[in-house]
Amino acid sequence: MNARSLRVGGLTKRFQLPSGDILAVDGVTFEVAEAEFFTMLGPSGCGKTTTLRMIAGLESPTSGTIVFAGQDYTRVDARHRNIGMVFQSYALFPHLPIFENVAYGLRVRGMAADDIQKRVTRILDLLGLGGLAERHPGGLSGGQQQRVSIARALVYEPGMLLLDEPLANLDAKLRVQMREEIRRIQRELGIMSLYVTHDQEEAMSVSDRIAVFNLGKLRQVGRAEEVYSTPATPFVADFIGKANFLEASPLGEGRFRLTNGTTVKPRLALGLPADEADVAGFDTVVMLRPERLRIDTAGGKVPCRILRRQFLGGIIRYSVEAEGAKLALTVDAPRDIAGTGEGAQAFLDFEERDAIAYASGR
Amino acid sequence: MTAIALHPGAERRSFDWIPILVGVLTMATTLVFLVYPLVCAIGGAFVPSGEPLALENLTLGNFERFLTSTSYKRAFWNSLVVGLTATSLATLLALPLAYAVARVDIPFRRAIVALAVLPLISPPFIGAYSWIILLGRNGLITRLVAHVFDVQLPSIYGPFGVITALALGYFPYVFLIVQGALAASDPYVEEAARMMGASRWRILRTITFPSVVPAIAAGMLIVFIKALGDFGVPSILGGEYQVLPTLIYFQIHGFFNLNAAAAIAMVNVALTVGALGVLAWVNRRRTFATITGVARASRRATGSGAKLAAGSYVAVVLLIALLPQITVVVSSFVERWSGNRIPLIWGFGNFARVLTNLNQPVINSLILGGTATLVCVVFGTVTAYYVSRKRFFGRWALDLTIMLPFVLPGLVVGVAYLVGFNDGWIVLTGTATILVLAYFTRRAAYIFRSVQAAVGQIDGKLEEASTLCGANWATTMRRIVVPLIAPAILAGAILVFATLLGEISVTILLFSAKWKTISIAIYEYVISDELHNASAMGTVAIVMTLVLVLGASRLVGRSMSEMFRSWG
Ligand SMILES: Nc1ncnc2c1ncn2[C@@H]1O[C@H](COP(=O)(O)OP(=O)(O)OP(=O)(O)O)[C@@H](O)[C@H]1O
Ligand SMILES: [Mg+2]
Repeated sequence: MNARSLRVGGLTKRFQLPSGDILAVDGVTFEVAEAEFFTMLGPSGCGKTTTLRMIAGLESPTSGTIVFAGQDYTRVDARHRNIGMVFQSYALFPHLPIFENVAYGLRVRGMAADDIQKRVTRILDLLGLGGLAERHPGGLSGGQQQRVSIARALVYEPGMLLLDEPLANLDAKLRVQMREEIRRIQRELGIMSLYVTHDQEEAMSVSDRIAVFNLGKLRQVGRAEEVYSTPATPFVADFIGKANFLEASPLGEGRFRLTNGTTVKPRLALGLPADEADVAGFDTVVMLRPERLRIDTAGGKVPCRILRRQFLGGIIRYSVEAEGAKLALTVDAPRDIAGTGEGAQAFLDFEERDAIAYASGR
Repeated sequence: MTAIALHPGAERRSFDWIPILVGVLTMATTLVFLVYPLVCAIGGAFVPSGEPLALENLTLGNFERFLTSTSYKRAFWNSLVVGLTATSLATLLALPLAYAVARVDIPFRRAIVALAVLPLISPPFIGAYSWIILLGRNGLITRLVAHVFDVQLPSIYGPFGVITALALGYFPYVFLIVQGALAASDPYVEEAARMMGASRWRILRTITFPSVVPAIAAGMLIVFIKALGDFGVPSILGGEYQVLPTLIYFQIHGFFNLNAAAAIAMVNVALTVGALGVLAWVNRRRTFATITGVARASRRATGSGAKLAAGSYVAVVLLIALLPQITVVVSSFVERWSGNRIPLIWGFGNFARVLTNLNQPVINSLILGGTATLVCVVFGTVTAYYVSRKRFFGRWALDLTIMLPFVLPGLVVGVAYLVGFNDGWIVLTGTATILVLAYFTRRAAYIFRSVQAAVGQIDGKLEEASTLCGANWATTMRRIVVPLIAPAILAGAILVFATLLGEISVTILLFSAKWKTISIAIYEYVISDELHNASAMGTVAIVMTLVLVLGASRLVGRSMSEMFRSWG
């Protein structure tokens, strides 16, 4: 990666509470390139905010390092990091007009008044806030407030922009519009951005790369396509999109036997020992995406029974039960298949290259 | 890796010494100005008068008098009787008033609530001496009744007068708290009861009343503590009838027996603590709270009968409660009245005389009150900010500073200060400093609570945003935090200052000839029977406090009644 990258190494945060310690972030390591849009995704409480706040300098790490542009930031005071941050609650200064809210970082830096005027005007125009300079935050809509907080974070040309669920307080339609706008501005300014969300669609639509967190640990980093098509763990598979799991036992040489006896050779087997001799006895699952499964009345790899059929417009979604699946499986079919009413017996079929095997449990 | 200094301003995170400093400061202040004098007083209570505090001197002699001395026994029982009856009377007055205002659709409800605060704002002993003007031996009503009906009214000096004046002076606490609870309680619960066929009376008895019992108990506790610790009213209206605070005063001014005074003060505090225990017990037995997610006001009765009855009751109670203030203001304009049935000569003579002869007490009050307010502002603001934002190790000290002055009557603080700062390490007796410090101890909590509420309203992310913009701590404080909490600081400061203008129970023990205050001047006028001068001075005090408190309520955008509900 290039010189102006961010490197986070072994970042750990332990909160000490009277009720016991919480390991909020556990040895997280990743690197973000200059001008990259990097998204941290994960379920509630998985440590995304804590990670972001440590990068901002608002929380001090228990251990680990944060290096930006070759300089060790781990113990640098937040105000010297030259970072812009956008909060979910906007955190606008209620007693200052919009202009002064945005100008704040420049005034603190002791910039000359006419330079401030120029810069603030430019950034307000970039965000379509031109007419609002004299207003106070209280009178603005949620979307406008969010734009102001983005303007305030960008005006002093920070080294990177941190956004913690910036769209969570907006309604669904505005959320889509704003995320496109954030992406546009980010591209236009070429600024490294770290974005936190728990909405996977949002993450996939705007990010260069996605980092998936769970229980304080970083599970996978990659482009949206990578993470979706080759999830590193069953958790990631389940969190990014929908995933079906069939129980299987390893036979060696990359082959697995499903509970109904069918043998398959998935594209990948993850989490299993490299040594073929050791794989026997491992519990494994085979993961398949709903759109990669087919229902066939004539025959297929796994017999199944159709529980429910939903018409969802573009697709028909089937819920089926099959031997070796603890939960009902989801199958998304592009069109209706004759003889597949609720309660009907049928077969599931799939291409072996669409399947991935994981070591499960233990 | 080679470190490239792309941000020359980058510095190491410096050690955060401010919370430590705040913690140390708070603890030191608490220890020196609260714990130390209290410990001295407690120690003093256990040694004979004039003896130093030493192991071989320890004795229960000072407490023995509660068993042997008639005046001690009387004062103890009198205090208990006055406290309990004044509290009961205040509650009896306040509950129907609260119900009428909260649940009956009478006109001017806002104005009524505002007026009900007045007795709390004007110094309480002003109420006491206006009863002398009205019902004293030479009082207006006394003479009127004697002339018209040829009947001699019973003397108001003694328990009757003390209890009435205290009840009328403090009943607004019960009223404000219960009215707030009644107005806020969930209307659906009562509607549900009505749907099940319960009668109005049954609903009141089984649903409404039980739901506000905690509020009633809290209000009663405040009245009880205030009545028990009140010095001004019994000293003016008590005559021969002594209570614990007047007994303390007597021990100090009559005999300068600090040890005996300390022992009495401890008994006084024990009664207060007992009352707190009862409240805790009441609240523990009723752990339910009204769970309400409704933004709907409770239902008010609109029948004309109910409105008439409620309206008349409210009018009568308010008239009686405000009679003292009205009397003081009216009589301050009366030039001369002795010998006449109706005052004849009106004018500003009293004011002219009082203000020319007595500008020193006014100046003293301004200086002492102003300095104490300033100290309260600095201490209260800093600690409130840190309690809300950071963890620091002096928490216990702070809780003590905030809670204790509420439990300790003013006279007790006065005794502790006399004992603690009379000799030994720190000698302050007779100085202005001792008054300022005693005021500070008793009032810092006002600013603390006001600011704490304001800081609680500010999203902590604002300060983080400011830091990330590059601002240092001082800039963040100056440009973000202080502007946002300024109204709360100012409101708290005004309230502190206003209530200090009428402060008497600490002042009476600690003032010296050089540092006589407005309240002492009024007190001395009353004692020497110069009631018209006292009225002029009292009017000055009432108007000043009223204007100030009104200003404070404007600033924080809350009504005066809300401020007293939370600061009582
Ligand atoms: N200041 C704190 N003190 C104690 N525990 C904390 C603190 N901040 C966070 N935690 C805990 O650390 C864990 C991770 O919290 P964090 O806020 O980073 O999660 P998150 O991924 O941002 O979740 P969400 O999506 O809900 O915002 C949680 O268990 C949380 O309770
Ligand atoms: Mg979060």
